[in-house]
Formats: sequence, C-alpha cells, structure tokens
Amino acid sequence: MSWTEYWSTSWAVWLGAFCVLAIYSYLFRDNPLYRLMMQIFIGINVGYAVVVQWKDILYPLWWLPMTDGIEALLGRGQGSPYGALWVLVGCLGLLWYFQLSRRYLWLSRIVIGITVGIGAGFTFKSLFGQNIPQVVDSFRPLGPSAIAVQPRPLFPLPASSVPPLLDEPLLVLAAGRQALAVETLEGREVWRCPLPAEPSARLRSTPEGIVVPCGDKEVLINRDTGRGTVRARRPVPPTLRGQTGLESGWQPDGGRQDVLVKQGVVSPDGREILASYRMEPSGLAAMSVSDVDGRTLWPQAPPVAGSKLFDGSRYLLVAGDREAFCVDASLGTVVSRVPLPASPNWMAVARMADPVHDQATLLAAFPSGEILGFAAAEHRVSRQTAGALLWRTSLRKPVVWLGSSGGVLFAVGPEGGSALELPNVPKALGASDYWDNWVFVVTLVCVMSYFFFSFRSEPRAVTGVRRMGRWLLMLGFGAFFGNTVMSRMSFLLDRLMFLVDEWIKPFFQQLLG
Amino acid sequence: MAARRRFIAILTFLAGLYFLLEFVLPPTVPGRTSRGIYLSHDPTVVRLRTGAGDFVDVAVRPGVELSMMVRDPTGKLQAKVQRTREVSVGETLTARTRTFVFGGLRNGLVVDAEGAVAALRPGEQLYLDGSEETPADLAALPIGSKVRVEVRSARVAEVQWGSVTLLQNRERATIQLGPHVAVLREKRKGTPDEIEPYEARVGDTLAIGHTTFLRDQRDTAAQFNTVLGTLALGMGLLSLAMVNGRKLKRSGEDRWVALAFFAAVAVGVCAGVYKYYDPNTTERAFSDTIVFRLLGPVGSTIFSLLAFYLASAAYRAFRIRSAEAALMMATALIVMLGQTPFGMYLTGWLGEQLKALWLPNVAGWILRVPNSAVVRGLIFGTMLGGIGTALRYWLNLEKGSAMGGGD
Amino acid sequence: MWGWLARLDRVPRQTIYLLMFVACGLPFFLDVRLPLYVWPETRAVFEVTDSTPPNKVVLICSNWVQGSQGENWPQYEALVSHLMLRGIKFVVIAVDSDPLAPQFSERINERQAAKYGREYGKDWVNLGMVRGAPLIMASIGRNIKSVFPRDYRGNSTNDASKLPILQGVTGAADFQILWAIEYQPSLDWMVWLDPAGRVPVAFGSAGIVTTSWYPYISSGQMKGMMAGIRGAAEYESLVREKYGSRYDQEGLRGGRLLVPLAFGHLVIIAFILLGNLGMVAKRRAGKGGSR
Repeated sequence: MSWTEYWSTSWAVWLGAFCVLAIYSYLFRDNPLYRLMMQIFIGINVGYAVVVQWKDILYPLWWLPMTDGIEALLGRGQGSPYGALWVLVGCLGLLWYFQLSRRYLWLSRIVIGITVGIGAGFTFKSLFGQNIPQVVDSFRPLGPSAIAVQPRPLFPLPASSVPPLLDEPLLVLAAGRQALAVETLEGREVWRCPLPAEPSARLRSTPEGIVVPCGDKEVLINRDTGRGTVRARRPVPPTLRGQTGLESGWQPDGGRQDVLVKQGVVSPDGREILASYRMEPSGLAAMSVSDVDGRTLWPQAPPVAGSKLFDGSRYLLVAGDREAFCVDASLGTVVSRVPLPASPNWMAVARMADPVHDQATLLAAFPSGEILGFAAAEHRVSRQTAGALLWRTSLRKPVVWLGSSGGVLFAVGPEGGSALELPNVPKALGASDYWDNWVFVVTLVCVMSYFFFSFRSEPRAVTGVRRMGRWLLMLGFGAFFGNTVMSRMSFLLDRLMFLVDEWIKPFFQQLLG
Repeated sequence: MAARRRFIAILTFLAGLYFLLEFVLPPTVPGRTSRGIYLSHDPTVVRLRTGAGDFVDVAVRPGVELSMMVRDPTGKLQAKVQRTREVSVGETLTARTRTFVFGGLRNGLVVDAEGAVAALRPGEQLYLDGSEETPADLAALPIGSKVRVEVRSARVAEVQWGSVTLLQNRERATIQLGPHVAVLREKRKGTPDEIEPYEARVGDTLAIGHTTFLRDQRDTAAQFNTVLGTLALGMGLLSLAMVNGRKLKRSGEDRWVALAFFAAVAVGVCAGVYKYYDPNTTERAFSDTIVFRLLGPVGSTIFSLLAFYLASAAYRAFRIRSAEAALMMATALIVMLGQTPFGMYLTGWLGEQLKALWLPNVAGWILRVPNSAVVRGLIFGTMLGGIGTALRYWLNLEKGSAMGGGD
Repeated sequence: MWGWLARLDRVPRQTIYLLMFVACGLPFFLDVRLPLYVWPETRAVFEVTDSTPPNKVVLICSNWVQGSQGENWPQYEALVSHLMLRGIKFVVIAVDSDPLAPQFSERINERQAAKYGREYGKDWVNLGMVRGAPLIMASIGRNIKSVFPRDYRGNSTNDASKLPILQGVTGAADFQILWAIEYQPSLDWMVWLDPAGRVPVAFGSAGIVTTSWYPYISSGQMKGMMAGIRGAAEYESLVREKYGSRYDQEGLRGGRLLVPLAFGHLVIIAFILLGNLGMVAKRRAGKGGSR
C-alpha cells in the first residue's frame, strides 16, 4: 500500500487516536489541549443532541400532530382536530425556560410539578411490579419441610363415565343418558344434550361437531348450541386426522389401550409426521403412518414393558402394573421410569402455567382416585431428578381421565371429578441450599434492621444485629467494588484495543512493509 | 403566593392521578359491566358512504379490518387498525371486507380459487395483497394471488352496534354493544384481554362494559410525557451559552476555549442535520465522521479515564485501618480475582472435590448469597423510600426549593 | 528496610497510571491463554437462547452506544454471532436510547451476517428506536408491529415479502427471550413487557451494575445475564463448546479482552497490597524512629 493510500484510509484513525491521547494527557497534568477537547466535545454533543431531539421526537410526536390538527380544524387535511390541543402542550413546555428568569421562576414550577407528578404516578406501578416477587422470594425454607406442595382444588366437575373431550374453553363430559359441556375457567355448565344410550367410548371432535359414541349409535353435537343428532355409528379410520381436543394422540380402536396414534411427532429428518405406536411381544414398536411404506421410526425398541400406552405431548407413556416409562416419542429413548402402586387408569403429561418454573409433570390416575405427579424428565432449574415423586393427592372416587391446560389439572370419573391447580415444581434442596438460605435470611434481617430501626435505648440484641448488619454491608460494598473495577477496566481496554489494533499495528505494518 | 402554590400542587396531583388510576382501576366501568359465558353474537354493521356516493354495509366479522390514517411514531401517515368500538359516525375509514385467492375471470366476473363468483358491491374494489396504492389490474393479475376487497376512504354514515348473548346464572341475557363498549375475555391468570366479539368462542367468560378511557389514552399519555420533557431541550444549550458568552468577554485562553465551544456547537448542529441525509452523500459522510471518529472516541475515552482514577483511589483509600475495612478489602479481592481467568489459574488445581473453594465459585457465592441479601435489603429500603418520596411530591408535602418551598 | 518500604505509601499517581497503561496494553501484543470458568448466570441464558424453536424470535433491546461500548459491544457481538451461527431469528429494537444505538447494532449485525450468510428481513430485522418507556414496553409486548410500523431501513413491518421474519410475530407470546443490552438496562422490562412473566428476561450490562441484578436472578424475575466482558467471553466459549469449529471467533472481543482485563485487575490488586504494605512499613519505621 502506498503512503497516499494509507493516509486516505487512515486519517480518521489518526484523528481518533489524537483525540484519545489528548484526553489522556490530562492524566499527566491539566493542560489547555485537554480543556479545548472537552469544550469541543461538549459543544458538538449539545448541538447534535438538540437537532436529533427535534427531528426524532418533537417533530413527529408534537409538531406534525399539532399542524395536522390545526389543518383539520380549518377543514383541510385528514388528521384529528384534537391534535390542535398539542399547542397547549407547547405552551406548557415553554414554561421550562422561565427557570432562567428570577421574576417568573414560579411559572417553571408548573411544568416541573406536572413532570414530578407523572414520575410519581409511574413509580407506584413500577415499584410494586418489580418488588413483590422480591418479597415473596425472601421467605425461604430454612429446613426440610414435611408438608410438600400439593395441587389445590379449584372447582368440582360433573361425572363422566368415558374419557371426556377438552376443547378449550369447553370440557365436554358424558355420563348416564346425557352429555354436558362446562367451561374451563370456573366449571359452570354451558349446555347439555340428551343421549339415546349410555356413552360407550371416548368422545372426539370432528369438523362438524363433537361425536359421542353410544353403543351402535353415535350422537353428533353442535359445539356452539349443544343440539345433537343421532346417527348410526361410523367406523373410525385408524389414521383419524384433524382431531382437535384429543391432545395429539388417541387410541384408534376405542378400547384397545396397547395402540396409540400421535400426530405432530418429529421424524428423524425433521418433518412432523403421524406416528403409530404398538406394544408387541418383542417390545414397543413405532411406525410412521404418514409414509406409504410404514417405515419404523426408531433404530431399536426401547427397553420398556407394559400393557397401556398414553399420550404425553412430546413423550409417549408406557404403563405396566408396577411401573411406568416416559419415552421420547421421536427418538425412542427412555427419559424416566417411575414406580406405580397399581395399574393406572390414565396417564398424561402436564405443563405448568409459569414458564420460569416450567417443567413437564408426569401424571398418573388410579381406580382408587389417587393421583400422583412425577418429574417427567430431569429439570435444571428445580434440580429434580427424572422420575422423582413431586406430590400425591386423592379425589376419593375413581378417575378415568386426566387432562391439563395452563397449569390446571382436570380429573374426571363416573362419580364426578375436580379441577385442581397444579403446584409449581419445588426446588430440590440439599444441605448447602439450607445453609445458603440461612445466610441469606440472616443477612437480610441484619441489613434491614441496620437501616430501619433506631431505638432510643437499644437492647443489646438489637445493637448486635445492627453491628452485624454494618459488617455485612461492608461485604456487599466490597463485592460492589470488585465489579466496579471490572467495568472501568473494560472501558480502558476498549480504548487501548483501538490504539493498538487500529492505529499502532497498521502503522508499523505500513512502516516496515 | 399561597394561591400559586396551591395551583401547582393541584396540577401535580392531577398529573400523577391518571397513572395511578390507570394502574388501579379495571379497564371497564365497575358496576356497569356484565359478566357471563359467551353463547352467540349479532355483529356490528358499519354503513360506509364512499366518495362516489355509494353506501356499503360492512358487518364486522373475522377477516374484516377497519383502519384509519394516523401518524406513526416516526411521523409518517400510516393506516392503523381501529377497534370496532372506536368507530364513530362522520370519520373517514378504510374497510377490508374480505380476502380470497384470485381464480381468474369468467364472463367478466371475478371468481375465487374454488370457482365461486366473488361479487363486488358498488364501492368495493380489489387490491393485490402486499401492494398498496392502486386497485389491481384484473387482466394482468396472476391466478392464485391473494387479493383483498376494500372500501377505501369512506365516511361512516351509520353504525348498528349489534349485541352479545351471554349465559348469566343459567339464563340467557342479551347485552347491547355500543360506542366505547369493550369486550374482555377473562383468563385464568393475569389481566383480561380485550377482543372483538367475533373472536369469542362458546364457553369463554366475557366481561362487557363501557371503558374507563384510561387505558385507551395510555399512548397519548406517554407521548405527552415525552414531548413535555423534550421541550426542555434548549435549557442545556442556553445555560452553556450563557457561561461561555461570559468567557468571551475575558481575554486569553478562556476566550479561545469559548470560541471553540461555539464553533463546536455549529459543527454539532450540522452533523445533526446531515445525519438525516441519504447515505453516500458528502453531508452524511461528514456527519458519520463527526459522530464515529470524534464523538465516539472522545466520549469513550472520557469514560475510560475513570479506570485510572479508580486505580489511584483504590491504592490510597483501601487501607486496612479496621476489621470492617479488612472484610471489605478481602471481599473485593476475591470478587476481582474470581471474575478473571486468574481465579481459575490460582485455585483450579484444587480439583473437582474442592470445587466449592475455586475462586470463581467463592466469588459467585458471595455475590449470589450474602451480597444478594444486602442488595435486597437496599432495594426494600429504596422501595419504601421511593414510595414515600413519590407520595410526598405527588401530594405536595415536599418543601424542596424546586417545588416552590423556597418562596 | 522499613524506611525503604515506607516509600510505597506515597507512590505518585503518574506512576500508577503509567503502570496501568503498560500492564493493560502489553497483553495485546502477547498470546497469553488462561483457563475460563463459566458462571451459571451466563450458562442459563445461553441455554434458553440456544433452545429457541423455529416459531419464536429472540428480542434484543440494544441501547448501547460509544460510551459503554467497552462492555456492551463484546456482549452484543457474542450474542449475535451465536444467533447468526444457529440461524435463530432475532428482532433488534432500541428503547429510549441514544439515537445512534441502531447504527451501532446494525454494523455488528451486518458483519456477522456476512460470516454466516444470513439475510436481512429473513433472519433478523432492526426496527430502530422508540421512546416512551415504560409504557411503550407494554405496547411492544402486546403488538410490536403497531409500535414499529416501519423498520430501521424504512420497510413496512406488515410487508410479508420484505420482512418475512415478522409474519408470525405479534407480541410477548412469540418472544423466546428478551435481551436488554446497555450500560444499565431498565428493570421495567420485567414488569411491563409481559405482565404474566412468560418472557424470560436477560441483561447484558456493565459489570458495575451486575451486583444489583443477583436478587432478581434468585427470585426468577431475571433468567440470567452476561456480566461485563467476562460474560461475553463466557458466552463465546459456550457457543464454541457446543458448535466447535463452525463458530468463527475472528473479531469477537470477549475472549480477546479477557486476558488484558485479568492483568488490569492484577495491577489494581497489587497496588492495594503495596499501599497497605507501605502503610505498615511507615508505621514500623515511625515507631523505630521514635524509639
């Protein structure tokens, strides 16, 4: 590169380097060059900021709406005539400048007052929103507790002798000689529809409406009005598609629980497919139904045993008499394995409403009415191991089906059911966590008492706590100082990097060829 | 004096009151809000009068969009979708009545992809999706393209508001819609969402009532706040100019520095104005040079001076004169070493079993446990203080000089 | 000897400055490698960002300009290089910042996009700057396109052909994570963007303010953070750990600045220790003299 070329590209770097060194010259001692640079910097900044604030804020947010409004008042243009009110805001804004006058100083206080009032108004919401979770988090467990977090009952649900249909915001149940729809927020009845016979299989939804199988007949119910029409039962194709409300998996042959069809399974090549799972003597087999050739999905069958298959969104649940397995529906790997007291009536995977603590919970319901919740997979945030028992509750009546949405669990059986709020997955705490919690709570108490309490004649204990608080504050300030050093040093390094990488190194390369 | 002060106090109170009420009050007027389970609805019908004098009735259903030209935050005129409840008689709207896939022309009539005739009412015109200005040229329109049917810039002649049928205590109740009547869908957690009536599904729990206007004016309130604050922009410039103007009268170095200040302001103004020129123009290049080659390096260099001050201050002030100072210094040293690779370098040899004693882990523990509690104590202190101060200012109990207490 | 050591009590400030200059500048010319330990706060946000599904975007509020570029530039570039490498879609905004902020972020976006062959409008979009926090944050959470009718380059955000990335994006439900990168990001993001708290919030901030973020991380209001240059270097090393040689670290600043940073810290520590030594020596020397 010739020197002419060098200078034509590098003059700006030299300008920058000159500015940096001129400022750093102040470190040696105060000098006119530094003072000049500061004034130039302030001057350019102020001039630039005035133009940019006008162009970016005042012109579009104030001037244009105001002129549009005046135009509209005069019967021209297409803005809103209310825009003319921005004239008043302009007058209000001019009051700022009475700060410079001694006599009319009070006028500027009007606009200061308004700004302060708005600021105070904002403060309330921001402070509450930011700090309520802080208060909640300060109540920490200081030792192992015997009372585990339990699901909280919300409202009762009507009976259903067959697995119902959850098609939010409706839950459609069928028992005896009627089908009933309740809404899922508070469990209030929306409509009911008579049936010709007892319901005989799981409810499903089709584009025309909700289908309730009743022996050799079935009833097609209009989802919106609840009016039903009886028709002869039609065979359900094995690859029943477009099912809303059946989560994403279903048993195609009604009663057989060892077969399951799932839609939305991710195949090894990344496409979403319809897959069929079957428990065979040789093990669990998975096939792609979407492809014509019925390709097997997994390279090898997972080591699981059981007689019932259930859908668990991205998992497949395999239940036996004494244990259950949670299998990744796409990969065929066993994610967790849980012990069961008996063969479950139904299993499902629920997700919490709160994604910060989101964890898949494996649910299992038993004929006795007992419902168990397990960690479906290992969870980093709560540190629960895969398959850990999280909670246990009982409805004291048989449960034939479980479903969940947004952190609420619906459990239904022939004698009625219940909606329960699922608890957030609690953190698995070890001894060091309790130690940390003790340190945390003691520190918080000491620091707060150092700030908030002052007694005229202080009891000894209070003096001790307050002195402790001061010590702990020092610890905090030390940590604060450590981080300050890191920050300040980074800004220096940024400048040094500029000098070295953009100025010195290229210059010497040019000089030495 | 007292009257003035009272006047300012009232203004301050009112300015804060809006934000407090907006935070506290529900979005619809309490007592005049009906709540129940959605069953069905009778749609709102807006009768539009086009420029040519045709009347078009638009029933607000899924796919229908009513929009109005408004200024966007950058100052450009932009079509903004209106809620149905915001429509009022006399205003000018553009309505998208439906969309379909163009299936060609049959006997001069437009048909959609299924072959059904898409009849256009007088006043309705076809626009190609994505293009804005002119109606689509039917002859040149490729088959399979998405088209919109729109009524452009028509005046609202009449609005039939329609109604919503709710199930309240097992009985059907018909709630009339109207101007400024909002339909809210309740959720299990969090504040309800405002929806258009046609978005409701049977079984949704709705609350229907007159809005309190507070939430609708949120954007205007934010804009008011921004504009009012920015109108003070000349203050800094004025006071700096006054200081430097005085210096101009003096002789020697001060005068030159003041002159440089005024010249720099002029350069800054030019840089600001030229910032909005097209790239690849000389003016824009000038602006970019000033900003990135002058303001940038100088600004970050001034910031970085603090590193040096910090080093010398740490050297001078961090002396172990008491046990408390020793604690503070020890913490600072651990955090400083833990933050850099030296922490691992010094303690990594301890091995996995003594992992808890690695300097980064010790520093992390200090920051996460005791320091976190200290900061939280400070947060609670500032929160109570902040609410207290906000209340004092808001209710004008503060007697600071800025608030007129010095009179 | 104490007398000689007592001189350490009064080292002239120019000497301190000069030593700092040399200690921080020297590592730029040398190739020093030191082991890096990744803090859990960085790992947590890396994992959330890395697991962005194709139907979601990462929202980045990039408010930094030259003043804090020493720390925010490495952080922003580490994040964007990861997103570009993985092909994760992201939307860059600036709220109440210096008007230059979008220019700073866009320069880095373009450089990283060129490395990995990503396309504007398809893989990322820069929507420019708005004012009016905190209320505008709530509007962004409800409908980002109504807040930004046009992007930084003047395209309409409703234009599917120019900005296909925004087609499925409306509000909070479509954001995988919010990254706020500036000197001191606003805590209001935790409250206003999504009142239901479904969008994890991550900060990339100056090291000096990170001390006060820890309580918010332990309460779960904040998912994690990048703390200063250290955070940026850790983030880069996490990406390299996972994607190996596909990750092009040429020009990234986090890893490069970390070693000089360590030396800078050492200088400060050394001066603190020397100052104390000097103080003790002076006391001893004084005692010796009076005896």
